[in-house]
Amino acid sequence: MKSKAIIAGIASAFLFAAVSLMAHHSNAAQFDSTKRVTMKGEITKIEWTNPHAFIYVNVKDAAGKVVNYSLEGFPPNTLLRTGWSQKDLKQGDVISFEGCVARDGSPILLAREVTLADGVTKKWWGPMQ
Amino acid sequence: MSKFMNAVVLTIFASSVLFAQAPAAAIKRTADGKPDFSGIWQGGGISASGTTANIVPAGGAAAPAGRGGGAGAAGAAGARGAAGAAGAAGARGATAQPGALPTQPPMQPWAAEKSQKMKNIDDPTVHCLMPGVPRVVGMPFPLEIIQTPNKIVILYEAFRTFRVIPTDGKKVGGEAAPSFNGDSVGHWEGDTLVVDVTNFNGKIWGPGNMKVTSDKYHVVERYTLVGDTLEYRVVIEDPGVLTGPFSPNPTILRRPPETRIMEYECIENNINLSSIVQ
Repeated sequence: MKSKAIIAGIASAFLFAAVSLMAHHSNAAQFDSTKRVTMKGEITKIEWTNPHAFIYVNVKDAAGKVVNYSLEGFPPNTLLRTGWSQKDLKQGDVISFEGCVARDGSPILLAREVTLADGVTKKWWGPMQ
Repeated sequence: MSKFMNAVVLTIFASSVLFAQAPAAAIKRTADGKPDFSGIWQGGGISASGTTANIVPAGGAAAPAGRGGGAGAAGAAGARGAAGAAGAAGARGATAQPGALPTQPPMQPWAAEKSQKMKNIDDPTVHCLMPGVPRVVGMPFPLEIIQTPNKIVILYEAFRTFRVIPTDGKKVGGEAAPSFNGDSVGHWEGDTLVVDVTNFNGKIWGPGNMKVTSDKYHVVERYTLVGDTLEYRVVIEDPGVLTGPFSPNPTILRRPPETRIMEYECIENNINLSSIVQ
């Protein structure tokens, strides 16, 4: 029982812990900087949240299968200070984005740049580390 | 020449005389003659420039995308000898002597081993806990200094924390529990504000690769206006962890483009655990 409690404790620690800042992202471990892709898709959800903002996008692969990708970005305050407005993104917009794929193949992208529907490109995240 | 123009010329002349009489450093001063630290500063991070232009360093190497702190988190350069580092000592007007102390933490063997084994998930800030002093100073978010004649308040956007620092050398408010930011008492040594910080809780990481601290952790900060920048140096002591004091490279705080301190509630959506368990 005791060990179960410990395991539960560890599990919940992992559940609630996460990256507080890009300061502590182990991006090199999670993403492969040599595998950069450009994708296009429709925004399904936007989270202007701390410690990081996320855009979720439905992307159709060659076989027509739709996969929902999450694009992690700078904190909202940093995005505001570097030229973003929350009005730039809304559900249903089609955007294209360039970034590095996850090493484990999960549908998450370290999205360096996002090109909005009007053709304007902005940094969603900095270079890989 | 019109009266108006006369007045303008006279004003310009008077201003130039005033400036000519200003101290050599020509730093901004408060009404009581102290260096004026008021306003918004930032030690690191991409938004310091208001653009993302500076996130790609020369040579194309990957930049720390606003990675919290860097040298900023580290903090300091050798301001004084070990005795001076102990706090209130030090001659008035003494200037910092970078390099007088090691820039890397001289850790006791057990502490060096423990620091090396630390992973991202062990970092208190990954759990949205406060980074403490001096790491908070170099975070990639602005801070605001509110200065009064006998007190300085620093509002840090990062981790929405703050510090209240008496600048007359008098500790106020009685006893406080050990904490992430500790207790600060400041005094002026010439144009440098020296802040002695004690009463830490032993739960924070120190600067650089000092990833363990004890309740004996002790920071002496030195804030000096250098032109348009605020130079920040620290000396770190911790008899529970270190074999002697050290002083990492200084942090240069700059005025970011016009901004204000905004809310940063770290725990709001702290979901990305796959990248920290590595």
